[in-house]
Amino acid sequence: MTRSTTTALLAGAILLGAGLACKKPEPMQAPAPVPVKQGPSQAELDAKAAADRRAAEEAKRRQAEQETAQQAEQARRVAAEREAALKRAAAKALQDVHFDYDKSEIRAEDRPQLQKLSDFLKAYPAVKIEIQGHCDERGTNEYNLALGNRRASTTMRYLMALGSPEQTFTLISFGKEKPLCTEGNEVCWRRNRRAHFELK
Amino acid sequence: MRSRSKSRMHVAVAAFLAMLPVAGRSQGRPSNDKQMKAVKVHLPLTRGATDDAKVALQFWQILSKDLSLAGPFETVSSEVDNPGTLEPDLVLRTKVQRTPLKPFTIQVQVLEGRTHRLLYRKVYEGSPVWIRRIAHRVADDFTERATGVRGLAESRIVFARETSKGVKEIFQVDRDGEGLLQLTHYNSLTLSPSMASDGRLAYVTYKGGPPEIWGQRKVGGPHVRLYPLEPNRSEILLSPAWSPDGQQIAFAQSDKRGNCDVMVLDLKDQHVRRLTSRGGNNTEPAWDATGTRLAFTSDRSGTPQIYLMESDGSNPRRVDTEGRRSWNPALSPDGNCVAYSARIDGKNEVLVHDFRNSSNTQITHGEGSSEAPAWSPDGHWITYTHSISGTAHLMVNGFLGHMVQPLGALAQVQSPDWTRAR
Repeated sequence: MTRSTTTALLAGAILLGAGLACKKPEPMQAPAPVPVKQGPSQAELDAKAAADRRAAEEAKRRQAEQETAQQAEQARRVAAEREAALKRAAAKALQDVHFDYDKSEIRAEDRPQLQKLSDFLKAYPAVKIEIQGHCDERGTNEYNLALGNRRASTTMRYLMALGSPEQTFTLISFGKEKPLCTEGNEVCWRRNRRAHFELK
Repeated sequence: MRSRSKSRMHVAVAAFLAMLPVAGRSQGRPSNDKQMKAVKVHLPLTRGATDDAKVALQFWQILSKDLSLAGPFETVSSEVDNPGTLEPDLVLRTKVQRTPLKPFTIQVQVLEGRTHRLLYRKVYEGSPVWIRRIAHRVADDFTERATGVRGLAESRIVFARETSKGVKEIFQVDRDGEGLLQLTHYNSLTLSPSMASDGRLAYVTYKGGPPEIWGQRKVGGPHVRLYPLEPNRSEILLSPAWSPDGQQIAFAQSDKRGNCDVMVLDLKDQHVRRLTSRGGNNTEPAWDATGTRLAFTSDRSGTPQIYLMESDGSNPRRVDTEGRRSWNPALSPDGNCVAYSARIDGKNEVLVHDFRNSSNTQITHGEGSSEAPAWSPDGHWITYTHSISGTAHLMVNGFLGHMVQPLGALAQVQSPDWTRAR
């Protein structure tokens, strides 16, 4: 509220009061002169309007920022949850499968395991996995690298037959270069003859 | 290191050779070892001036070990000139001297054992930092004169060795098991070294992810990717082997279909040709010394077996290894034999197949598993890995199993290759 309107309202109130009071009217006194103030300049008005606009914009921007941050935080949380869910699912699905001595065929007992892996790959179609072929110590280093690759390959082709596209897979062979154990017995050999899966 | 010996040789070489009972050993198939009489060599230690004594002692120790490892010699090293009851066939006298403004010199004299008649004399010179190399050269010159075949003291053995879990690098040692040197530093899985006759190295490394063949295009040059020509191929590349002329590398290529085939890369035009296409595993290619044939391992019959083929891939034929699972073929330098490892009684053993009579001779016995044989450049020895309880050491086996020596004490080694190239 500006000063001039205040003055006018004050003046009105005095007049009103005088009219309502059932008193003998007293001789009118001239009201005290109201100091006349000059109004703000056009430039000042413009600057004020601009400042108001800026403030409003700033507030809007802050709110938008806050909303964006909230959305990002939300997205992060969702992604993290999705990631965690993927990891949990992967940990369940990416279990080693094993092979007979000097063989690379998928064994009947490993088929349910590969079906689970296939279901996982269909649930997460963007996922890429590396299939690593490993061997026991009995073949030679170089021969086993080829054998390990063939184990990785038959595993990939089994999963492709279950419906996953080839581009989901990369193959690598470690032969007998990365054994899980080094004892020279069948228990250890069986552990080492494996296809191992890694998320890429 | 230089040798200024030519004018100083006072040698009746023919007489020298004639007096030695081991001259004329045949390659790969030594004559009956029971009839082979060791040459008795006396190595007296001659102590020079005080400042040379340390170098002289070191030199004498290296030389004595070289000759004791060489095979045909029975050495007696003593600090006196008179070996007592030894009655040596030969006396090898060395004198280390350091002269002002010069590297040190080593005077070598070889004397007939009984009469002390001088058979030859040679002077070597070089810096003390080359003491091992000079001792090896003296040993090899002596062996060549005594047997007609150059010794192996100057040769080296390259192999892959585990440096930490999941990390293997390429190393070399001298023939005496000393002088260990690491040749790659990738902190990655690096395997299957092959040494060209001029000393260029090739090997497989996983440093970029899938295994690739890396090595040297030039002698002494940097290690670069040799194959594939472009990275990120889906094939897995294995088991490189230099051709004898050093122009080609045979290797195995394992594809996403699970097949593995022997290929040959020509380093001049980068052309790659396929030598096998039978399906299954065809791997571990090994050239013969002429470059006309390759041995390889294939499971085309159902189990891994040794095959031979021409270098264009034609005429593949199975080597009769008595039906055992067999791997790691290595053709002898004279082409008469192939060494390999086979599964026998629950272990791997090293055997030698002789093409001339189709015999298979087992050269390793006893506890532990032996594999990955590689011939010495003279064809008299085979190095291989011997492992007990998962710990593998290098062994050297001479005269088809009659002389077995551990090569140093290094553990966790694999895939040795033996070369004269330095």
